[in-house]
Amino acid sequence: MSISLFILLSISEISEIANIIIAFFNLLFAGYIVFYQIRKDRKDKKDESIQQERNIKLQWFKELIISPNIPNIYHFYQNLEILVGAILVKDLSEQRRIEISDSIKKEASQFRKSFYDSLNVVNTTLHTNAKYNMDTLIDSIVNKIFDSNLNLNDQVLFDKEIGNLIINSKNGLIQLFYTYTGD
Amino acid sequence: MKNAVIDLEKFRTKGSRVFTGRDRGIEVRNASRIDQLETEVDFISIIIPTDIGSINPSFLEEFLFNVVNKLKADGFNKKISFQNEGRYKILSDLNEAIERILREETALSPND
Repeated sequence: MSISLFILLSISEISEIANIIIAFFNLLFAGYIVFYQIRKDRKDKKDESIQQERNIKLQWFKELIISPNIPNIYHFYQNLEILVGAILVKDLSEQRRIEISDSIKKEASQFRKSFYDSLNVVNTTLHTNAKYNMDTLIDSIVNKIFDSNLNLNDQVLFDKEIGNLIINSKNGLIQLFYTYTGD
Repeated sequence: MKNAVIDLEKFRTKGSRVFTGRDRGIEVRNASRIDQLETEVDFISIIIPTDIGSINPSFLEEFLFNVVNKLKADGFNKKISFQNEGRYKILSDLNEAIERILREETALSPND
């Protein structure tokens, strides 16, 4: 009988010890959850603050730089098409090629001053990408104007060789602004 | 007075009548050693081949990047000149390149 009581007491003690251990781990777990939640809340708050700041930046970027310049962007590409269209002439003289090339570079310079230089204030990478887009376009057009192997007075060839360059540049520029996230 | 001459004829792509592109500008800057020459001589003359139709600002911006940054516009115009006998006139492209280089430097400088 004394042996069975000992066993019973032991089981009771073991049960209490087990309860204490479970309670301890519950406490630890609850503490962890509280700690984790506080940390998560802080992180969420920080992320929300960053996102809010980014949204404000994007809003200013849109209102101060992009919206007022949308007509400017379309005007530039339309003007460029008109200026480049001057090469649709048979037997273009060397002097005329130089004049057309100069007028295109002048137009690009005005576009830089009136619009995309201001991107440098917002984001250096965005400005660099816009500048590279523009340089690639102007360089490609000038290269083609002085390529004596190309017969650019042919409208189909002109559209293929130059028209597509202008479309790609315009789409590339719009994509730059569309994908800008305010970082 | 020590003078140096850079003849762009030596650096042009065969058959081409233009100098365009940033990469090409860097290549010619290195090949012509213009940055080193600028420190060694009092005056540099750059000869433009007579049949050249255009030297684009993208090319000039890289070709002249270090010398313009060092000398600024006035110093550059005093020390470096272009000999230009053909129809193409470089002045407006050169001014555009100088302006772009100096603007870039201003934009990258930390605010005081």
